Amino acid sequence: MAMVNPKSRTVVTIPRPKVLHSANDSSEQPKPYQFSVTWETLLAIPQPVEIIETIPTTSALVVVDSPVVVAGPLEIVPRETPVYALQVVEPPPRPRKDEAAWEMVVPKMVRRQS
Amino acid sequence: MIDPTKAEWMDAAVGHFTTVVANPENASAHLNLAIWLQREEQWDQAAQAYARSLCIDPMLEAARIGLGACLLKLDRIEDALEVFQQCDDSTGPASFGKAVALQLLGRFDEAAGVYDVLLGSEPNSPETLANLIAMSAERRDLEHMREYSQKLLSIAPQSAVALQGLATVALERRDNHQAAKYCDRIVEVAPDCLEGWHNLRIALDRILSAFTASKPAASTTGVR
Repeated sequence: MAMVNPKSRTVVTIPRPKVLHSANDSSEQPKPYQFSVTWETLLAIPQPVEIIETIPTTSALVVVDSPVVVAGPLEIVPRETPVYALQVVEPPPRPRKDEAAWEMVVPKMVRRQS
Repeated sequence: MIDPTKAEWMDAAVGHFTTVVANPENASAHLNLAIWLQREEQWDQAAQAYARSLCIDPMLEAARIGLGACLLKLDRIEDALEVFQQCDDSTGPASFGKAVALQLLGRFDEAAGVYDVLLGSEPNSPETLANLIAMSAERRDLEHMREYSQKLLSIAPQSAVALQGLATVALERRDNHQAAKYCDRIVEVAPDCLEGWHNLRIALDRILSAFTASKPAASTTGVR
């Protein structure tokens, strides 16, 4: 049997065996052995566990508008390809140099005729 | 210069305590701290850490068993028994802890019942058999002491406990040749066992006395 840590045991001493002797029997008596109650098995059990970080209970959850991911079928659903039409946009004609006269128009309040 | 062992110890201590501070509501963090404290033989602090772990997660059986074991070490046997009784298992470590607590409380009949169930599921458990030998010694139940000692010796031939059990029975029953044989093996496997040396001498003295007592008659016959 493996040696056990003496600190982890409780010693239970058995009483001295009661042997009947005659009055003139001066022989020495056996010494009782020390028997112990042990629980080494229990002390060997726990093993460290992996720690998973937890959200502290004092924190509050903040609800924000965010895209919702919805579970869908695994196969790829073909999408309709949008049809694009080419539209040519002509830039506005630039004024010539001799037409480059600017006139400031100030909007003014006009009473509406009823 | 810091001793490397001490540095490692410091690292471990800081690591465990930091994890607990960072995760105060995490049962596993408290459990790991408790295990470390238990290995450092800080039984009281380990028990407190196990208890905190259980407060967070009452289903953590490892924490419950650790707490019970620490309470046994702290000689808080009644508390330990209460903890072990909260476990569900009837053949596992919690049941073994319960049997130990009952035995230490002197409730031998109840302890024997739990040990019987344990032996039914695990008949070759050296620690269970050794505890049963100790309990037989306290109850002065020589027949069971012999039975458990022989069983233990069959699975652990070098078991000093088994040899001491068999030697006790042999000495009690004045089976001096058997007693001398077992005591001789005890001093072989455990040379520091003073009782073994003493009882070996007692057994040999008894054999010699018996031989001497029978010798005069034999000598008379021889002379003739």
